[in-house]
Amino acid sequence: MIFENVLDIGQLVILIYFLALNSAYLSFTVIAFFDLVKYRRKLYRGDLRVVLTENAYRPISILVPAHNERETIVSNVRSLLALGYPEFEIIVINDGSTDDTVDVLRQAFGLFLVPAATRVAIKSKPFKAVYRSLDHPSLVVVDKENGGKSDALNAGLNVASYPLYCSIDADSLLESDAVLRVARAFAEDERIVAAGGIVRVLNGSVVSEGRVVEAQSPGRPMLLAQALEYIRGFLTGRTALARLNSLMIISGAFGIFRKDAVIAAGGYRRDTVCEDMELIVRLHRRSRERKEPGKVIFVPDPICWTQIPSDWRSLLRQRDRWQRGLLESLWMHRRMFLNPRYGSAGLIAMPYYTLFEAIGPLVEAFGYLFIVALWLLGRLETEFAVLFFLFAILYDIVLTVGALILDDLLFRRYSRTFDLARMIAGSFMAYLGYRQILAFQRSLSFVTVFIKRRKWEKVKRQAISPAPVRMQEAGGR
Amino acid sequence: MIGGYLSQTFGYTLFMILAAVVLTLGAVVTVVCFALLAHHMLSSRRRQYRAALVARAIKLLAPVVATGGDLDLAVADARRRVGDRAVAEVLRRARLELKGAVASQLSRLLSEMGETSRLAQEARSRRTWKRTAAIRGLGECGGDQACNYLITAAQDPQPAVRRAARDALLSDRREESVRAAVISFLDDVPKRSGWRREFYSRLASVASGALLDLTTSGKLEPREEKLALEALGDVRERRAIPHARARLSAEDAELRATAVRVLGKLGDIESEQSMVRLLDDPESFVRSTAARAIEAIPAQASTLDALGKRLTDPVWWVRANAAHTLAHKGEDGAQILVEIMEGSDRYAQQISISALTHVNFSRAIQERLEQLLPRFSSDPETGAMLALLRTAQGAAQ
Repeated sequence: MIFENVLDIGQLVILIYFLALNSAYLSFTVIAFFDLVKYRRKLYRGDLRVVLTENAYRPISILVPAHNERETIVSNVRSLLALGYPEFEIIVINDGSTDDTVDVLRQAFGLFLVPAATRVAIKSKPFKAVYRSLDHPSLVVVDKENGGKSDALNAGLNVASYPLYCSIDADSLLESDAVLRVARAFAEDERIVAAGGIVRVLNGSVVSEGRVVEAQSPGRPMLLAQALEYIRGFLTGRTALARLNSLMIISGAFGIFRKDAVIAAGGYRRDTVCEDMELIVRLHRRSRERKEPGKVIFVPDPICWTQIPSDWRSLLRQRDRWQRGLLESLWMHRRMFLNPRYGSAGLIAMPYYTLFEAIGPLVEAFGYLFIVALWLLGRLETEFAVLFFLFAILYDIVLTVGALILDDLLFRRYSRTFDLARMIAGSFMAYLGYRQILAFQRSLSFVTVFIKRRKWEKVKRQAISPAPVRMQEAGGR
Repeated sequence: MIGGYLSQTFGYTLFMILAAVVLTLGAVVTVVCFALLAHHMLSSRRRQYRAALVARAIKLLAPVVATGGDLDLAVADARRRVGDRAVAEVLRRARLELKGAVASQLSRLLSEMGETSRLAQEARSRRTWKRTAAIRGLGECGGDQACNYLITAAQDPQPAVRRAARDALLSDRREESVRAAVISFLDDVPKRSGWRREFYSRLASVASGALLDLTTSGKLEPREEKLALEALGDVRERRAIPHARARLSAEDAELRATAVRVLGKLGDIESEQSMVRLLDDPESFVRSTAARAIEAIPAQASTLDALGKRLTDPVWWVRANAAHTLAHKGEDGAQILVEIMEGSDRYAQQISISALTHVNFSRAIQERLEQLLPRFSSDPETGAMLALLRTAQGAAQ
C-alpha cells in the first residue's frame, strides 16, 4: 500500500512539474512574441546613423580574454577592428597562454611594449607586459599570468578607459553593427547596467574575412539541437525574462556592461565556474539592496556568432560547467529567493531559475528512470504513458517551432528554405537521445557541483580564414 | 496509480480526450511547419525580387546623383523600368545622406511621384507603429509638403510618434522645422534622460545656434541646461563660452561641473583663473572635473601649483585627475609629481607614480626617480609601483 502511494506521489510530482514548466515556457513565448514584435516595429535604419554621426553614444572598451587562442585570435581581432562604432578600444587579455598567442598577435599587429602600470580597481594576477599597436591605436594587448577567465576580465577592467565595456569570447564573431545596437540602448536609458545580445551558432555558416556572409544551419543532429536551443533560449526565454526585469544571465560570449557598476560590485568573482551569470545576479542584488536603478536588458537583434562544441565530450563538459555555474550562483545568492526586497529578481527570476533551470534536468532524468522502473515492475499504464510522452514532445516542438517562426518573421537569418526545414527536423531529432543525455549529464552535475575546480574550458575550434569557408561540423580537427 | 485511477474513474473517455489532444497537436505542428516553410519560400522570392529591383534602381540613379546629371530624366526612366516603390526607396535613402540643393531636388521628386502623399496617408493610421513608420518615411522625404505633416505629427497624442516627428524635423535642418521640433520638445519633455540628451545632441549638431538660444533663454531647468551645455561643448560651439563662464558660479553644483568641463573642451584660456578657483569647490566632483578640464588649456605656473595641492585632496578621484593633468603638462607638471613623491603622503605618492606611467619624461626626472627608489624599501607596494614605472620607462626608451 505504502509502495503504491509512493508511486502515485511520484507520478503526481512529475505531472504537476510538467504542467508548471510548460505553462512558464508558454507564457514566455507569448510575452516574447509581443515584445519582439514591438521591438521590430521600433527598429529604424536612421537610428543607428544618428549614433554614428552624432554625440549620443558612449565610447566602449571591448575585452577579449584569450587563453591558447593562436588559431583564431588574429582573425577575430581583425573583425573587431572593423566594427562600425565611433569610438572604441580593443583590449586582448592573454591569460597565461602556453602557446604563442602573444607572439602571433605581436607579428600580426606590430605590437610594442608600453608601461604596464595601471590603476588597480579590482585585483587580478600580475601583468607581464602591456602592448600597443602603431597600426591600430585602439588595440591594447595585456599579457598576464594565468588566473582564469574572470581574472582576465578583471585585468581588462583595470586597463579599460571607457565607461562601457563589452566582453566577448575570443572565438566569437560580431556583426559589424552589433555593438552599436546594444550601446544605443545605454544612450537611451541610464538605468541600464548590463545588456546582452543574441548569440547564434556559427557552425555550418559561411565565413569570410571574419564576417558571416551566409547563415546556414549545421547539418549534424547534435549541432542542430544545440542551434535550436540557442534560438529558443535567446529569442523567447531571455526576451521574456528581460521584459520582466528578471534576466539573470548575459552570455559571456557577448555582453555590454557599465564599467562603474561592475567595478562597484567588485568585478568578476574568481571562485565560480560561471562568472557571467554570477555577476548579473550580483548586479541585480546590489541595485535592489541599495535601491539604485539597475536594469539588465536583452536586445534581440545584435548578433554574436559563436562556435559550439561539435563533439559529445566537449558538449557534456560545457553543459556540466553551465549547470554547476547556475547552481553556484543560485546558492551564493540564495538570500534573494522569494524575497520581496529584491523585486522581480527575487520573486520571479530566482524561483524560475531554481525550480525550472536548476532542478528541471533532475526531474526530467527522474521521470525517465521512473517510467523504466514502472515498466520493470509491470505497473506502467502503457497507453497513458505513450500518449503523455507524445503530448510532451509535441508541446515542446510547438514551442520550438514558435521560436523559429519569430526568428524567421522578424529577423530572417536563413535565406535558404532548406536550412529552415533542417532546423524543424532538428526539433524532432532532439528527442532521439540528445535531450536525455543532457538531462542525465546535468543531473550528474548536482553531485560534482562543489567538488570540481574551475579552469578554462576549451572548445575545439576552426581557424577563421580570409577566404570564404563553411565552418566545420565534424568533431575535432 | 494515477493513470490507472483516472482510467478506472473516467473509463476510456479520458484516454480518448488525451489521444484527441495529441492528434490535434500533431496536426497543428505539421500544418504550422509546412505553412512556415511555404511562407519562407514565397517571401524569400518576393524579398529577392524586391532587392533586385532596388539594386537596379541604385544602378540607374546613383551615377546621376553622384555626377549631378539630369535627375528628373533618370527618375522617370527608372520608374518606368523598376517601378515607383523601388525608386522611392532609393531616393529616400539617398536623401538621408545628402544635403543642400541635391537633397531639395530629391524631396521635390519624391513629392511629385506621390511618395510623400502616400506616406502622409499612412501617417493617419490608427496604429501607432504604422504612424511612426510613416513619419520616419516623411522625414526621409523632406521638403515643404512633408514638413507640414511633420509639424502636425509633432503634436501627436503618442510620445513615440512625437519623438519620431521631432527627429525628422531636426533632420530637415531648416529653421522653421527646427523651431517646430524645439517647441514640441518643450511642450512635452521626455522623462528619459537618454532621450533628452539625444535630442540636445541632435539639435546641437544640426542647429547649434538654436540650442544656444534655448540654453540661454532661461526656460531650461538646471538639469536640462546641463545636458544642453554638454551638447554644445561636444560640437565645440564657441559661442557658448560666455554662458558657460557665467555658469561657473552657478548655485547648482552639477551645472558648475558641466560648465568647467565644457570650457575645458572649448579650450577657453581666459577662464583659467575661474577654473582654478573651482579646484577649491566644496563639492568633490566639481574639483575633480576642474582638475581634468585644465588639461586642455595651457596652464600657468600658479595653476600647476594649485593642481599640486589637489594631490593631497581627501577624495581619491580628485587626486587622480590632478595627477593625470600634471603628468600631461610636460616637465613642469612632472617635477611637481616627483616633489610629491619626496613627501610623506603615501596616497599622493602612489597617484603620482600612476599618473607618470601614462607619459614619457626626461632623463632628469628618471634620475630623480632612481634616487627615490631606496626610500620605499619599507613600503613594498609603492616601491613596487615605482620600480615598475622605472622598468616601463626604460623599456619605452
